[in-house]
Parts: sequence; C-alpha cells; structure tokens
Amino acid sequence: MNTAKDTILKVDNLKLQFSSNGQTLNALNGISFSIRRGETFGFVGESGCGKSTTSRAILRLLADNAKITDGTIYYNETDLLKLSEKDLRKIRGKEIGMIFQDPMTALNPVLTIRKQIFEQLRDTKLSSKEKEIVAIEIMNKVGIPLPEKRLNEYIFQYSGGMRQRAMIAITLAGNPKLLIADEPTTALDVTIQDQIIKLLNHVKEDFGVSILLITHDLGVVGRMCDRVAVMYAGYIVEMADTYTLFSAPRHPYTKGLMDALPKLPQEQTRNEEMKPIPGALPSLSDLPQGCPFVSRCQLHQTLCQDQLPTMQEISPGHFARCHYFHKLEGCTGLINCTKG
Amino acid sequence: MDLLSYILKRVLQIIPVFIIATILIFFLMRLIPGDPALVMLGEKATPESLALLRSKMGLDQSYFTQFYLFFKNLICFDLGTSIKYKEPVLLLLGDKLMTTVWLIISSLFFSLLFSIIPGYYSGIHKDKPVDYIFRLLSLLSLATPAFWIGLVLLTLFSVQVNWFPVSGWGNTFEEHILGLILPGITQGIGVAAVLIRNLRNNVIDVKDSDYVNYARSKGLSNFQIGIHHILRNALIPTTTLLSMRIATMLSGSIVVETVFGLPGIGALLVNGIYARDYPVVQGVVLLFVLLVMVINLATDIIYSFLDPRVKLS
Ligand SMILES: Nc1ncnc2c1ncn2[C@@H]1O[C@H](COP(=O)(O)OP(=O)(O)OP(=O)(O)O)[C@@H](O)[C@H]1O
Ligand SMILES: [Mg+2]
Repeated sequence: MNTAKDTILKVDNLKLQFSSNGQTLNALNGISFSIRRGETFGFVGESGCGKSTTSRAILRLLADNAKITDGTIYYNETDLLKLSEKDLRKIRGKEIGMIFQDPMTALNPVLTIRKQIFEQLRDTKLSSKEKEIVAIEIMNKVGIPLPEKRLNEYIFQYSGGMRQRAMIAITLAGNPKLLIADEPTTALDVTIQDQIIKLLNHVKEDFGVSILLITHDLGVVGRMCDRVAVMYAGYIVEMADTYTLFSAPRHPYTKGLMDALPKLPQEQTRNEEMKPIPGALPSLSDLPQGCPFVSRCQLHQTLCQDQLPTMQEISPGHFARCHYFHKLEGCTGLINCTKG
Repeated sequence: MDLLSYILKRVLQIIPVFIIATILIFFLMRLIPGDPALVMLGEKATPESLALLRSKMGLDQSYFTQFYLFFKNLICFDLGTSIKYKEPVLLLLGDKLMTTVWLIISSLFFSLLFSIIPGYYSGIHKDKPVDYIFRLLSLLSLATPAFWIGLVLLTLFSVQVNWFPVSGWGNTFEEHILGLILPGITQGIGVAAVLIRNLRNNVIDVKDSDYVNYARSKGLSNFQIGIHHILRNALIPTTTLLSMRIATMLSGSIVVETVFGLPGIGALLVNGIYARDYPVVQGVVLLFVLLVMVINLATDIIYSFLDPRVKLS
C-alpha cells in the first residue's frame, strides 16, 4: 500500500479550491507530507497560507464552497478522500481528533462538559457510571482539579487556563491516535501557553498520540515539533526536522521568517510571532505561473518568474522548493532549538 | 439566587403593575360611549326605569366612588356581577378560562409543529429551493388574516368533509380535542410564520460556528449535531419570541373563538363589550394582564434553564 508501517498519515499532492463570488481561489496547490507514528509534525506560515484548510481537508470539515480537486490522504491504509461521509464519521473523533484555537467558541456554550465528553463515549458499551469514571480520569490526566464538580459545569464557568484543558480532555475522550491542533496556544496568555505546550507534550507520551500542530509561532514549533513544514500560498515551500530547519533554512521565505525575529538568542525562545516580510501573499485567485514567493524574494531571477520550482531533497529528509537554495548554503537561521 | 425567592420577588413586582393596569382599565372602560342600562332595557325603555336600573347598578355615582367600590371588591377577589349574565364575573371567567388556555396550548403545539422543521431546514439549506419555498410560505401566511384562514379551514374541513365540528367544542374530552384542532391550526399558522423566519436566521448563525465544526470533528451524526448543537442553541432566542407571541395569541383568541364559536374568555370579552357589560370586560382584561405577566415570568425561568449563562436576578 501507499503507507509505510511507521507512517500514520500521508497526504499526497492535495489540491483544494474555494469558489467565492465567481472566483476560484487555489487554496492548496499540491500539498504532500507524512506524519510518523508518535511524532509531532508542525505546520507554520503566515495567516492565510492554508494551514487550517489543510487540517480541515483531512477530516473533510470544509465549507460548502470548498472542493478537493486532486490528491490522496492516507490514514494508515485508508484513503480518507474515498470514504463515504458515514465511514469518515468513524474516523473523526475516534481515530483523528481535533483541538481548536479558542475553547470558548469551540465548545457548546449550553452543554455541560460532562455531556460533551459523554458524546465521545457514545459508541462504547459503558454505563453512565463507567463513563463518568472515564471522564474523571481524563480530566485528572489533563490537570483539571476537582473533576467530579467541574464535569457538571459549562465552559463559561472555567478559567482561561482550564478551558483549553477541557477541550483537550473532550478530544482525548474519543481516544484518537492522531491529534490535529490548530493554533492551540494562540488565544492564550504567555504563562498558560507554556502550560498547554507542556501538557500537549506530556499527552503525546501518555496517550501515545501523534500530533499535527498548526501554528504561526516558531517558538512553539521549537518546543513541540519533531519535523516542520513551512507553508506559503497553498504550497509547502520547505520541510525538514526541526533542528535542521532552524539551523540551516534553505528557502528564502523560511529564512525571512527567522530573520524577522529578534536577534539575541535569549529573546528568541518563545512567543515570537512572525513579523511580516515586506510585501504580501499573492492573490490565490491569480497565482504567478512561477514561484509564488517571487515578488517578495531577494534571490529571485528570471527563472523564478517562469518556472515553479519543485520540492528538492537537499539532504536526507530536508526538502525546499527553491531554484536557488544553494545560495543560502552556510546560512544558519535560528540555533535555539530545544528539541532534537 | 434560588428559584423560589426569585419567583417570590417577581410576584411582588407584579402587584404594582397590576394596580396601574386596574386603574387604566377602569377609566378607559368609562370612556367607551354607550349606556349599559339602555342596552339592557332596549330603546323603548322609559327614563324612569332607566334611572332606577342605573342607580341599582351604582352607575349614578361618581367615577371615583365607583372605582373605590370596584377596587375594594377586587381585593376580596370579587369582580362584581355580570350585567348580562347575572352571574359573578369570577365564576364566568373560571368557566371560560380553561377553554382559552387549551386553545393557546393547541396553538402553541401547531405553531411549533409548523415552524421547527421548516425553520431548521431553511437555515441549513440557506438560499436553496427549500429555503425559498418556506420563506414564500411564511410570507404568505404572514399576509393572511387569521379569521380568513379560520373560515377557509372551516369551509374545507368542517363543512365540506365534516371532519371537525363547525362550531363549539362539544362536551367530552374527544370532542374538545377535535374542536381545538382547527382553531389551533388557525392561530398556529400565523405564529409559525414569524418563528420560521427567526429560527432560520438563528440556524444560519449557529450552523457554521466553531462548536458545530468541533462537534463534527468528533464524528457525531448529522442528527445529533442538528438536535444537540444546532437546534439546542438556535431555539434559545426563538423561545423569547414565542413567549411574546403567546401574549399576542391571547388577543388572537378573541377572533379565533368568535370564528369557531369556542366558549372562551375571548368570546366572553366580545359579548361583554357589545352589552357594555363593564364588570365582565374589566374582569377579562385584568385576567389578560395577569396571564401576560405570568407568561413572562415563566419565560424568564425557562430561559435560564435553556441558557445556563443567564442568571436569574
Ligand atoms: N470558505 C472559504 N471561502 C473562501 N476562501 C476561504 C474559505 N476558507 C478559507 N479561505 C481562504 O483560504 C486561504 C487559506 O485559509 P486558511 O484558513 O487555511 O489559512 P491559515 O493558514 O489557517 O491562516 P490563519 O493563520 O489566519 O488561521 C485564505 O486566503 C482564506 O481567505
Ligand atoms: Mg487558521
């Protein structure tokens, strides 16, 4: 089959379009990546580059105007794109679970946490007593104090830090093998962000899940991810293990993201959101025929305008989509990588 | 605050409102031209007999004396005696109230029956054919007066095919049910039109919300998502609207009870006005005021259960 034993998710040449106001937006233009069992795989890129769209395409949780035009998404041995809606529902929640950015809007405001955890246990043969025990155990594991009491509360009664824990508990109750976390720490303040990162790293070991982490925060990538893909205008432009990417970026966009961070290593450690690189994302309805980054790139030549670069393997496991990546040789990027 | 003390507080608040309503009703009644004594005795009555009757009914005293007597009796739950029926008004009201309450329950039932599913599907399939059809239907029924709908239903189902009684609601439970169906549909159609539009818009607001997407990501079926996540939230604002509509249904019952010959307080009010039966009219209007306030209280309590973020206070 398409999938090696140690790969849990393999996305190949995924293309997706939105139609809006008679225009066609090419939101994803041939995304390929794979996630290994037990690893945390990161997606970074500035707002609007298609990170959330990729993650939602995996479970087909897309808006009505979205259309997947090409590609395959293998979860273990199953092509998710070939599954009926009914069969896909067996994957959602139980095989692949999601964590959203803002628990206040992602959890139903008028249902208790108990009810929302029990929904995940709907197909188990457990009695409601047993479900309660399971729910309390999960709440304990994600660090929610007094779970017996908090189970009966609503999300608005939780404090900021506990809210994201509650959503993580609900998602974990489905016992997924792959966790897709879309900006799980972006809405949180710094100290809580720190706790949630630790919790997710811990959950990965404790529950044996793999994680697809979406963020635009390189600091979070450094603290959580084994490997990273950098996205730009619906393309993956660079992909490598976190250490390699941080120490030897080979795409000018990745380099630009890192240069935009403050220079002193001590200051780089966390919460450095990407500062914009001069210029803006090209319009998705009218992508250039060559490299999508051409208008903002300092290295660009005529070749870049005419021809879309392919993903080239620079060193084992390190890919970049740039005609002139060798010009970045010797460039060091960020060294502060707490992982790897 | 616990429920009981909340209810107590609200009931205490009702009292001053009720007193003001009483004053208004009493004096507004007196502004209606016409003389109850004349209505009772007919055009040919002699001035002497008229004067005698008027003094017997206390109509020759000043308005303030009349009000004082009226209010004093009211405190002892005595609403006076009907001029027309010669019966205590309180008994009359008690007699007719249940008919109207059942009419409203029937109307509520049909308005929900006609609105929840169309409103939900309209919202889910926004700007699709189903949506246009339901929107057109609700516009049509908004533009159609209740008495006309009632007459059409009567002609079709009572006169032509004889499924339902032409008038009244019989004496047995089965006859009551049968007699309440067409009046309930008549009122329900008009209310449903308003509810459909409201529910549709709420469903549109809710269906693409984060929590519905999150529920999808949990693999719940469309049915579970529809009931627990979309409708459960979309119906909250609709509840408030519905409760305001119940107050409108009370006045709607005047028309519907007249069309269908139901012996309710709406019909009692109409007859009372024709006969210038002051005690009856006052009694009915006061009862309406009381009912509206009770409905409001009930709505607030129900609302706090539907939306835990709202605290009773
Ligand atoms: N339903 C939709 N209809 C039309 N365009 C859409 C729709 N959803 C997303 N897009 C567009 O697709 C592109 C990718 O959006 P996406 O939400 O995946 O970006 P993102 O990388 O997650 O950004 P952010 O960091 O802001 O979350 C954006 O240009 C966005 O405007
Ligand atoms: Mg996003």
